[in-house]
Amino acid sequence: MIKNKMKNKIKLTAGDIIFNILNYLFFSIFTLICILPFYYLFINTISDNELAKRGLITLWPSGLHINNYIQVFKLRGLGQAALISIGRTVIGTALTVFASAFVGYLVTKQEMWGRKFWYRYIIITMYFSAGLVPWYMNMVALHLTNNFLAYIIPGIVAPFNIILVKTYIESIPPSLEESAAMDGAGIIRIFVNIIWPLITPILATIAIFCAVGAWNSFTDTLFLMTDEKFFTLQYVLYRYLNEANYLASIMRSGTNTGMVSAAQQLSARTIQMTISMVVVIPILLVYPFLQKYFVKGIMIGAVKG
Amino acid sequence: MSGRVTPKGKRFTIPVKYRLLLMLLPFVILITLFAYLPLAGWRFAFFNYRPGIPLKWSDFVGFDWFMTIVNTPARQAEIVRVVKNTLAMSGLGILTSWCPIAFAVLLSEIKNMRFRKVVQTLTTIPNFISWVLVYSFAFVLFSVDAGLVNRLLMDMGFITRGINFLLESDHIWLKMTAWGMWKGLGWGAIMYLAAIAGIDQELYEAARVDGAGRFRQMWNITIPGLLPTYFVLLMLSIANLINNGMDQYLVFRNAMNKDTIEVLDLYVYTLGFGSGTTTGIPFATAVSMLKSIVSITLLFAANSLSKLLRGESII
Amino acid sequence: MKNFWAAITAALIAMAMLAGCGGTASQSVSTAQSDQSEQSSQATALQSADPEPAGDTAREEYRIDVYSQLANYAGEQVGWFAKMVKDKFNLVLNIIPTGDGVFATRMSSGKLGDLILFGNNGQEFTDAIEAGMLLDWYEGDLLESYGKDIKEDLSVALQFNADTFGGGTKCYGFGHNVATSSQYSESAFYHPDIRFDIYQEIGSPEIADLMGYLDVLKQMVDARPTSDSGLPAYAISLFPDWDGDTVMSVKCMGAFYGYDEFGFTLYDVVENTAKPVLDEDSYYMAGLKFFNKAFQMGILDPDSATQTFQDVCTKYADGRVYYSIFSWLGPSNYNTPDSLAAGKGMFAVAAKDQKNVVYGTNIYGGNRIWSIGSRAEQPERIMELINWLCTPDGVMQSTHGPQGITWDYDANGKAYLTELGIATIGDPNTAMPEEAGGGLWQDGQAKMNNSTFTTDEINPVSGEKYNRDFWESELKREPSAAKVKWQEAFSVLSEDEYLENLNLKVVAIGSDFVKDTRSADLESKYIQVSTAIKDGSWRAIYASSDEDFGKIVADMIEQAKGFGYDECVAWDMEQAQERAEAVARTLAMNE
Repeated sequence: MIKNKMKNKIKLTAGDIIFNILNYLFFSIFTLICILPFYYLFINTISDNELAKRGLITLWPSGLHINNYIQVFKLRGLGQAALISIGRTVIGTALTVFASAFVGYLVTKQEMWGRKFWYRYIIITMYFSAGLVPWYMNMVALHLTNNFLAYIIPGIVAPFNIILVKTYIESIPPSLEESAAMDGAGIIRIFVNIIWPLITPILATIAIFCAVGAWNSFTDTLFLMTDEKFFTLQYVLYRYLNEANYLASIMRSGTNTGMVSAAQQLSARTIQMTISMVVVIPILLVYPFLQKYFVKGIMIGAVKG
Repeated sequence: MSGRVTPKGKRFTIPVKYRLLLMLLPFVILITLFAYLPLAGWRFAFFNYRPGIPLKWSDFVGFDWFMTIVNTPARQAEIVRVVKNTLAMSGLGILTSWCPIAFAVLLSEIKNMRFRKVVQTLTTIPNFISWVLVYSFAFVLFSVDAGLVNRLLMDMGFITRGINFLLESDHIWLKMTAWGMWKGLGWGAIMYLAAIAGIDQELYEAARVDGAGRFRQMWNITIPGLLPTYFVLLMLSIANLINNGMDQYLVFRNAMNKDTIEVLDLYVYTLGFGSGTTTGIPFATAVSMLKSIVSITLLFAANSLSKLLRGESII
Repeated sequence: MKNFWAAITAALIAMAMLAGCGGTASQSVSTAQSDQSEQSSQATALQSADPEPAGDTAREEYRIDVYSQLANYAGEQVGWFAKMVKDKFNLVLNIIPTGDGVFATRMSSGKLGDLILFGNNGQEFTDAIEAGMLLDWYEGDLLESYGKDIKEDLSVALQFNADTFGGGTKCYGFGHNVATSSQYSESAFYHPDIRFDIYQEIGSPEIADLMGYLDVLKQMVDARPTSDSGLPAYAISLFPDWDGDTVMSVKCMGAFYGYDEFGFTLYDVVENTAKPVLDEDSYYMAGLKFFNKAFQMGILDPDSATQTFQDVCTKYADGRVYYSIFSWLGPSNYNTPDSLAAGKGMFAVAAKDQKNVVYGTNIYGGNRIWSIGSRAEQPERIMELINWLCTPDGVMQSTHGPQGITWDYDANGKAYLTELGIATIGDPNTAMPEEAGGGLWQDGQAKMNNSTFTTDEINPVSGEKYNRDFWESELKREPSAAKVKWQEAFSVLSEDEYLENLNLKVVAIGSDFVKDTRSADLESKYIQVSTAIKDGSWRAIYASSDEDFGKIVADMIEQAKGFGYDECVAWDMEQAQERAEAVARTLAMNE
């Protein structure tokens, strides 16, 4: 209360006002630039398909209809695929967030035997790439083909997230943890009661990164899953977005016969656009919910009390 | 710790340094399974390996595939060119890496929460749109006759004939950096927004009591609070100097701008898989081996540099 | 904070539950699978005891993995084709499409699929044979008992495969578009189509040769400078994303003058010799000059180098481009019922000296191979399926839909499309009746996407081609106003007739030629040379003057040679020699 009153009493200087105006202006313009392509996709999906097909929808929609959306929602297997996508996103994110927090915390503990080595052992894998075939053979050996766990387990230990958590924990005043240790709390208790609440903002960030990554990935499905009950939403939609690419690769292979039928198989571009919309919208709906964990800011003092 | 606190415990307790390691062990096993085991595939780089055909039937070729990168004068010129592009664009990326910080700091100065949330959500949109779609949108913007930009310029009388902006080969490095920034700025700022949220609010209170203005608070509290995260990310991006992906450059590449747009990843992709055959696998493996080695060397070099300059090691 | 905790806890619980379910689910699946495989192996045992497949209707359902490099569909085949295959053979087809790296990973796991369709007969096919992934069709009584029609009607194609890939004694399948005679030609798709209404508007001027074409196109653009929606129109609009070894549209200029694409050479289908593309007097160079001239005249779409195939389709649909290289590019986008009714349309008009390449029918089959996986549990049932696809009934039903529903034979034994059949052509999203499997027409189309006989083969049942465009019933259907004008101008009915009557075509004889696979080293050179030629060609098309053009071409040649162009061409020339010999064999046989 007192704080608020104090804040109100501070008079805004001319510099502050100009700064505010410029700041709002900047963000308004930048936001506009960011949503332009999205807007363009959107007006094309709701406009008359004949006009869209001829490339005439550029600024305003015309001949509004929602048939494209109806058609996309009628795509076969979409329900099951959405379920798998949600499943892998929720479970994968929960496990990765937990693992990143825990590992990130553990590697800050100086007492650990060979701490530096193990930390580096995990971190440098970020720069490994064994190639597609060895990766695949490994997954086959681990029985992770046509298996839901293939979506979850490989992503649990995420070096990048671990670095983020470690850095974050190190920026917290160590006094908190030390006082808890004095009270005789064990490692797990300190992690659960002290560390976890403090690092919520970075965990929310990681959760967003993981969730978006899990939601958007389709290559694992492409290589590992042949049974349609494990197809994800992104994969089902990828097949449509890939049509032009597929056609081009058939054409490039050099034989010209049979092109006719292939060329006619392309589905309407508006359907592809609708599909891109359908995949992005869920992210935009969930994201604001996660945001509240890091817009507010936490009072370390409040946690102490 | 508890081991030490209760030394007269009834049972034997594992010393804390091993207990910590034991807790880490499951995760170490996971990373071994998924990141280290597949490295066995690096041996393919030394054979004329074709998938499905046992390695013992394949010819051992030693370092031939590594040498393919530089084995003719024409290829040497190519590799110099693409490495130059790669370093230039990664370098520009590093030079602009402070932008997400600025974005986050400025955004946190916006007091209208609703506006702030809307901006924060909507500026991440470009990150979700694949490069292929970004290009098709770029085409709508810049195509010669129907493109919005050309129409605007023509209506205002700046030009009489449309210009094919996508074909122009000038300032490709800057243009690509700009596209990359447009796509990644809002997304990249998320991390810093989280870091800002972690800054102890009492610091601001104290500064305000001392009469510090808005800019001084930003400069003395917010930005120093973000620097640890920034330095970590900076170091990671230094290690990633030669890995800047290829999707973006693949879609924007054309015959006119290819001299300056082709980066290492794209070059290797065209050379290794472009023709859709499996013969490129050993070559691609050899390149990714080299890249891993370079990246890890850079990582440790950056770390030593950080130790030297800032007195603290990051990894 | 509490909310966050609650969310995480809930997620963890959900995870634990789901993981549990997932585990059991996959377990039950695997048990089901092993059950199935046990049963199916029993079934196999029964089968081999009783070699009369047709009478056995109560067979176990057999689910096969169809790995098709020609498919862009993943998952179970559905709709009318699924029902056909299920009713006839109790088979369920699980389609696995390919993609960058998919072949490599499937090979490394040791199992490609049960039914395998190769996109070409190159390295991947020979690797699969070498790795033992493919079944030898000549082994045992597979063909005799389950592939009678294949053995009878496709024996040449089978033996060709055996001679080429199996040392004469082992056969690993056969290629697509097989014909029973090499005397005919397939329907043409290489012919220039132009906006015929505008061409007539400017008085249907004679077009003597390739360069003469440009003047006519210029007149057309001058007469109608804007499209249907008022945007600037161009004569020509190209796109780079389908470029293979060389720039696609440029090499097609060769195809207009009797040269088939052949690596870095163009193959003269009459003389049976090859010409390197970068030779000064090659048709590839002529094509480059043609497009550059068009650019300098301002009738080439400046977007050409930066747009994709889909962007070009949009432009054709709006009438922003007046010239099309392929019969299915311009016309299929512009000739909508509305434009045609309005008297506007794109139709074939060739320069007088053109000799458009038309592919001859091939008794050896093409390069998209039908094969069976060596680890398939019941190869005989897969063979039955392929066998059916090689019968007139199989070809007609898999292409045109269920007989009696979308098409049928009339009283005279000629095929015709039903109302529903005609509807499916107009709108592929037409619903199919329940008794035919339900769903939409296009969802039910065969997703493995390969052909056995060419559709230009004669259907022995009706005496007409399999291709419905040549059915009497289809030819009799009312042509549009725009088409009639074109037909009257040349007094022909179809494009094929036009090329035939006006002596505008040459036939590329189908032969048993198969390109060797390139060594890994040559392959990497090939890729870099190809990139240099493609980039150089595009730059040359955009050259602002003739000197500029000459300079760019010289640079391109120098760069290509630096990457090993000469070595690649030498290899191509050797291959061309082999092709010429193969063609000679076919010609000798035809006589």
